[in-house]
Amino acid sequence: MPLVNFTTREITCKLVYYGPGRCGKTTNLLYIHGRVPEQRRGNMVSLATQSDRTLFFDFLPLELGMISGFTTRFQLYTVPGQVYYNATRRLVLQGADGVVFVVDSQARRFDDNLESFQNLQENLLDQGVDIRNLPLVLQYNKQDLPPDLILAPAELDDAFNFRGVPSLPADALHGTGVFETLKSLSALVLQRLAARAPVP
Amino acid sequence: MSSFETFLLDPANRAAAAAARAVADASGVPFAPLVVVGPAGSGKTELLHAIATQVRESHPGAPVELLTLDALAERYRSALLVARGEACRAELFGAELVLLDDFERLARHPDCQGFVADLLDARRAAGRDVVVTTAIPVDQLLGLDPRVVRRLVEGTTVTLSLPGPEARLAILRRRLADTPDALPDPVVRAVADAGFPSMRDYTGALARLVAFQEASALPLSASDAMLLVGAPGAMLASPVPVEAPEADEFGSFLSEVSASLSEQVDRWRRRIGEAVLKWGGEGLNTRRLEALLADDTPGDPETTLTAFEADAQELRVLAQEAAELAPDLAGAQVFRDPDQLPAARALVAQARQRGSPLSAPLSQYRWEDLAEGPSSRLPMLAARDIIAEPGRRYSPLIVVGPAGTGKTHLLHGLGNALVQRGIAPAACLGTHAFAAEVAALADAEELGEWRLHYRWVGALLLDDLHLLAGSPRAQEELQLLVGELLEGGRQMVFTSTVPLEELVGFDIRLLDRLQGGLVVELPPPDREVRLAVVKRLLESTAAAQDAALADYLAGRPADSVRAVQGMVQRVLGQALAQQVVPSPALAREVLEAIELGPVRAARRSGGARSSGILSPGMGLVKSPEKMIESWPGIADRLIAELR
Repeated sequence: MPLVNFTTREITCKLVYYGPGRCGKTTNLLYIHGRVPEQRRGNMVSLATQSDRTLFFDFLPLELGMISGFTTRFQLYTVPGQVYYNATRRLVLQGADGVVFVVDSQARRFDDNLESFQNLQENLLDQGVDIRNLPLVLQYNKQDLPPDLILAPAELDDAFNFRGVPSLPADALHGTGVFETLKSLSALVLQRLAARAPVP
Repeated sequence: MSSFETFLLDPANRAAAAAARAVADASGVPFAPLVVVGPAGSGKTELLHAIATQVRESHPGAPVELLTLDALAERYRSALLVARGEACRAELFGAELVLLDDFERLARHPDCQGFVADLLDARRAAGRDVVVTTAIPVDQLLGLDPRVVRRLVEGTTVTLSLPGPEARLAILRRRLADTPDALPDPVVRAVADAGFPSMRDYTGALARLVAFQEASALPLSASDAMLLVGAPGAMLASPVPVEAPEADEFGSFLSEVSASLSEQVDRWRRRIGEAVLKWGGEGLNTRRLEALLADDTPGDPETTLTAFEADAQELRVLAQEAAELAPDLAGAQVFRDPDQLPAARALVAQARQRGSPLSAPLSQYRWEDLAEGPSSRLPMLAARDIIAEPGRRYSPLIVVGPAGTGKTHLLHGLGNALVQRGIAPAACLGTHAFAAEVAALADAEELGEWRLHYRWVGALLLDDLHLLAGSPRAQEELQLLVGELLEGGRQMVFTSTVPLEELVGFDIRLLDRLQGGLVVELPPPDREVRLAVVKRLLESTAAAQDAALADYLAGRPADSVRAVQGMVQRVLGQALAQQVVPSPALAREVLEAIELGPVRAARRSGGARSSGILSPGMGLVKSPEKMIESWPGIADRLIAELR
């Protein structure tokens, strides 16, 4: 997917929320959906099971309007976190311009986070994408839970953020850190506009 | 459009603006150089652009070189790579004005410091100005060649400060000149008073606010604008309570996205601006890129930039090839304009035609070897004039003379001298070959290529013109070619054994054109010429210093240079056979034995009788005084005397 189309003067960014099951990816999108003026948002498509688990993916289109002469659109996706939906995850990851990896801060979910993070790298590699070259933001969700149940951002940084990408604590249910995460990823994605084809 | 007015608004910068204007107006003594010192974002680059704009307006077409130091270094290195170092120096040394931005970066290019020192020296010596800008005062510049520092110190230094509020407001309003309603005026005023550290921060904040306003339905207030751009002390200055960010998280997000995006779009503009500086600095026409900058909503800058770069690279290669094939094409304007790439390609195609092999003058006929005497003085004089001013004095030159008088040597020698003088290519061939080339042309396409091939020669030298009689097609082509070369001011030389007026079977138009040139006669060689020819032929032999031998041989009758050469060769050959040093006696023996034929030979072999004086034997004769001639009868002696 072209990030920027100068001919049609459109910029379309596909941002994917990735992470283990029940980490809060859909909650992030729901919160954003709730804060976007109606005229700016499309319908949020969410295919969930009876138990509120994402079966396929969530999709939230955001129309940001005309910015610097470009019609700018953000498309937010989540992937199904469950291990057995890997094919769907790979499909959603295709053409992603940036990824938010949502970490469940609960200590007991540490291994799930790790497995999902490795799965993200594998799926990107399958598509010929090196995670080091893709805009990535880590969101440490559920930081509102009692401290004895969760790992602190610094601990999670030690475990996941060995590449020094932006990482933000969040409470997606109440909105803390949700837009900050989105802003952080957007900035990274937009920075690549000028760096896309350097002048020799 | 950059101008001096912005700088004049600020009292602190008026001195710098006045000095810059003096450079632009070329009024007063050159500053040599003018050094503009100021912090980042104080408008140094803007000032250079203002100077360049004014000079270009007042002297359209005059070369103005506006370069960053990095671009200058890259240009110089690129020129050295393609062996155009001297051309690069000449362009910069001779430009109307040289403006160098970010001079402090010279420390990063130690290999170019000598070149920059030379540039400053040369322009100072020529009384031409250079303006340099630097963020670091001259006395604090480190890592520079002492010559460069000395030149800077000897120049005139002016300082630029960050613009004051009025100047800032003027600059910001100028930025909005094309879209005056993009922001409410109080917002623009508030930005101008925001207290950022650099002018770039002001223009950046303005861009962010314009982007935000485009995406927002409500007009911005000054206080909100200050919050959005993160102006120092904005919270304190804002008299109206601002909504908590949480209340409009999406708005805040949108603002940041707008700012990021407009910054990226601005980055495109910067990239294009840098490309304009780079390629403009290399002398290329950057109209195509400038059009992108002028357009608020450029089509596809990336594609345009990439295409421009590719065209510029191709032009560079084409210019290099043209310079090798035909030096006179190297400076053609089409090689400096990527928009004229097809024309440049066509020109190089022509140059390739020109560069394909032509029949060159034969190297054994050297100009230096041509012997000159009273008889050949006129053709030699004409030839010298031609070498001095090819195509201007005598074109065509027609040399007429009997066979063997040295016409071919003169033709090829003259051709070689022209080539040495840089007249290339010089086509030098016989009319037989010329007629054969014409006869071999199968169709109109081949004919066209052949004509192109000859149309670009620097000189045409054609031997034995008289042999074209009876070749009407070759004559017709020659007539056309002569006409074109005359128009092009090219040199032509023809030789003929038959005077022009006696040529039969010739196209009258061709004869007309030829008679418009200089016809000189090359008669049989006189004694002086013969002596020079003999001396040259004996030069590398044991008899090189034998003046008597040379004198004897030159005194022998010969109606052509070729005959003189034959004579000398016979004597040298005999000397070699007898393993003796060539001498006058041997020469007499060889040459006169041939003339007298078998009678004399028989008498000598039979123990010869003579007039009564016995010859001591030819091998013993060393000088004319001691030489005793023998002759069989009075008639023989008379003949010998007469000779």
